Amino acid sequence: MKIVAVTACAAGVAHTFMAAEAIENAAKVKGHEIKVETQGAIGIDNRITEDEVKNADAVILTTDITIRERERFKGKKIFNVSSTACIKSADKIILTIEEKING
Amino acid sequence: MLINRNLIMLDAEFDSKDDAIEKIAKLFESEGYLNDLAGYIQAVKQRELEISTNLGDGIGMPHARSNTVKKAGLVFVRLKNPIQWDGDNSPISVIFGIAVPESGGNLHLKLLAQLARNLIYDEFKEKIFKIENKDALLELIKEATKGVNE
Repeated sequence: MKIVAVTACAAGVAHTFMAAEAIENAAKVKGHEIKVETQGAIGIDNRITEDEVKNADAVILTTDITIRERERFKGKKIFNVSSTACIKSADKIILTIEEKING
Repeated sequence: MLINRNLIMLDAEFDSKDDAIEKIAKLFESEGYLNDLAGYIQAVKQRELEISTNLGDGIGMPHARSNTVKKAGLVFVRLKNPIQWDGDNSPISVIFGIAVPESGGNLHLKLLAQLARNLIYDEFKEKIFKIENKDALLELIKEATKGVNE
């Protein structure tokens, strides 16, 4: 499966990156392709391209604060999760996505 | 160097968050990282007032980018007894203290981001809470901050 994700948190200093690392790791362990864009205090890193959005089977967006340029993902299957959920239970999130996408 | 053996403190005995911030600042000062001790302490306390740097799981990351800092540094502290960091969150027993000069740009944020990424791995967390050997800890932290470790 191809997954893209965007993480962000209130301060944009730690949880943004912890969530990014956790979800990326969990997806890779299950053999999925994933790209995670971080929207932190440092700015936007690892920006997701138009093509990557087009080819993605699933989009994960954190809900802590408004994701910038959210309209890019219109019409895609979006999974909204908190950054804390990404950190604490990334495996479960990936499992849920697998079930929803693959039926 | 971002960190050296003298910037690692094990079994530290701090009474409070303020005490921790002050003692970490003094350590930076004694190793030549600061221009202005009182100014740095003030900057870190100010930053904590904005949003607490308690990351959960007993780890805190007090930091400041300020002209009171001469060169970028990282202090690692493990406490003998955990201390309360803020009202709502769990107590802290491991502290990463960060000092970055005004001219350091985004270095402090890159450093925080890199450390934060490491902290999701139980293996890394376990090590920072357990390793007794300072040299082994130094290696671990250097490895974890590779790429931002100037």
